Amino acid sequence: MKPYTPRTALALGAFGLFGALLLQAPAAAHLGGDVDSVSTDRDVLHAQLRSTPMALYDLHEISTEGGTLVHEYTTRQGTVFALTWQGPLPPDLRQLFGNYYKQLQDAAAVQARTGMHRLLSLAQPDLVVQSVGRMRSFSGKAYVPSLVPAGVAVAELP
Amino acid sequence: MNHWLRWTLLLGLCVLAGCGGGGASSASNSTSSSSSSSSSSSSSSSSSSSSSSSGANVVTVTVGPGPPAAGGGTFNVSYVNVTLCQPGTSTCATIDNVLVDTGSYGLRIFASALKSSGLALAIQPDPSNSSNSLGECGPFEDGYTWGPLVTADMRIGGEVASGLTVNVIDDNGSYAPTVPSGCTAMTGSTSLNSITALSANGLLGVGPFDQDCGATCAQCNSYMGGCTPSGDVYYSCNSSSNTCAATQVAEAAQVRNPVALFAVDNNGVILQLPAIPTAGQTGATGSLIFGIATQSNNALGSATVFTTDGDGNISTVYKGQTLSESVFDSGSNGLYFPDASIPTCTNTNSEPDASEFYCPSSPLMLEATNEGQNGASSVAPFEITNLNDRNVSYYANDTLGGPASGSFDWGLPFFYGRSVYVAIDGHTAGSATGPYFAY
Repeated sequence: MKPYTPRTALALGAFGLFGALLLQAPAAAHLGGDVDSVSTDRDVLHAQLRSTPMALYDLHEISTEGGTLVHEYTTRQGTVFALTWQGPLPPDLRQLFGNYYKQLQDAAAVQARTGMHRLLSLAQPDLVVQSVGRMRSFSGKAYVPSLVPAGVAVAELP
Repeated sequence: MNHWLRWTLLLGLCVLAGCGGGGASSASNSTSSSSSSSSSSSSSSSSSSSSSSSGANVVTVTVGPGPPAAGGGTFNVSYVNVTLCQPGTSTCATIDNVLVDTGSYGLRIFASALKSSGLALAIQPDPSNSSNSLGECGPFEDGYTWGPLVTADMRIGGEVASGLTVNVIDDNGSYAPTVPSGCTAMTGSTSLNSITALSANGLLGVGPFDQDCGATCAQCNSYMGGCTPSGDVYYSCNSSSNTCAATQVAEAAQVRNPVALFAVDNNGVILQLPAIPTAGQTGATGSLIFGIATQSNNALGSATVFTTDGDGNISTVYKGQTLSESVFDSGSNGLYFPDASIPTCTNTNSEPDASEFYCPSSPLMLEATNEGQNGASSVAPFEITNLNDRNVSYYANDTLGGPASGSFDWGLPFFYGRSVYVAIDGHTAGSATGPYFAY
């Protein structure tokens, strides 16, 4: 099973605001959390935050001084339904995964691939994770399928 | 007593007591550096093939069973011998079964393998706090490695990397500070601190960069005032209090690709493995050649150069998908790429991570196009067969692969029948400048 089967194309740019408007809501929360619950992700990651409204969700971009870029995606109701990361080091996944962190850990422990350990894929009903990484280059994507807004293609999240 | 001294003493005791075993040979005071330049291996079995070069800049690479692996064994792991010496001395020991890894940077050795070798190496003090020692977190996707930094002279073939910083992976509890939470926050809390987890006594990282972390770990982050390191990789640790704090380490003092420290053949490597049959075979014997266009045996020739981005990645186009984080990674044991149309395998007791591999109902002939930042482009055909059809006594197999996302990870199967060049960032290597891969 592949988790990223494209569904309907996402109508990016419908608002004509792509990358332009900064939202008032300042903080992104952990996966499954509320957008206004904490500003701790930014603080824990020692990072800058920029939020942008998209057609069907809001995008919160957290950039650390270490060069790692984290995107958190919130529903119109303010719940984080997906996140992505890319950079020379992984971000603080314990912070970003919140209540889902233990699930991630348990899956990693079971997988514990012999040989090199540079891929992680997890496709459970309530959590999908795909990540790849080696020193100097890490990236990944995680989402909660039940929280993804109708019409949003996770594979095409910017 | 400082704890790092005690750690050294423990290792030192092994010299006297002769802690044998393991896969490593004992320490010796021989003044002759190891000079076993490749040629064909005497241990190659009847169905192994070999493609060896010779010269002082060449060592033999062996694909075989290696140390016992966790989780039902592994395959497609290539090994070399590495000799470590106390700095500036001829007190040395050779560690065998060190994994050749074009996907990482620098030498990492398991503490138990070092202990078995009988060689004592002093842990590096933190230059900014001499009562502390330096430890390193190795982030992986499903866990971490953790252990101290030591200094050694590394010899391999006729090459020497003097004063090399080496990461000792603490698999035997000989390093007092426990893994910091900042490390596990990045990686999850699964420890990969075991020889069975990596099926090797260590990793020889010879990828296309000089340092294992680079600027990220040398920077000071000023957010919220003060100065915190921007990378949770290097730590300053106090053994007495068992506390570690992330610290920045200058690039020159980080764990470094030992090739960059060689006197002449210091701009990269060539990993050369023989072609093998589709069904696989028991093993294979090839060569790791140091330097590119520095000697008569390492010319770039007609190889196509694919320059990488700043993270060491090339692009691979597969079935219309552009996979921008692709890499030639000898440390991966399969070809990992996204294809929802190929069924994955079902986990079993004997293959607990089988779902990480593809299990097509019949062999698939596929292809992908590799693209460098320099515009170079080349089609690479490959084949994927069913993991369950593998002969479990065959440690060399070029048709196994599994799913990935956003990346085509060309693991060791890609290297069979090829000479793959890896040029280090900033170094001129033949007609091009690293970082690049070529084949």
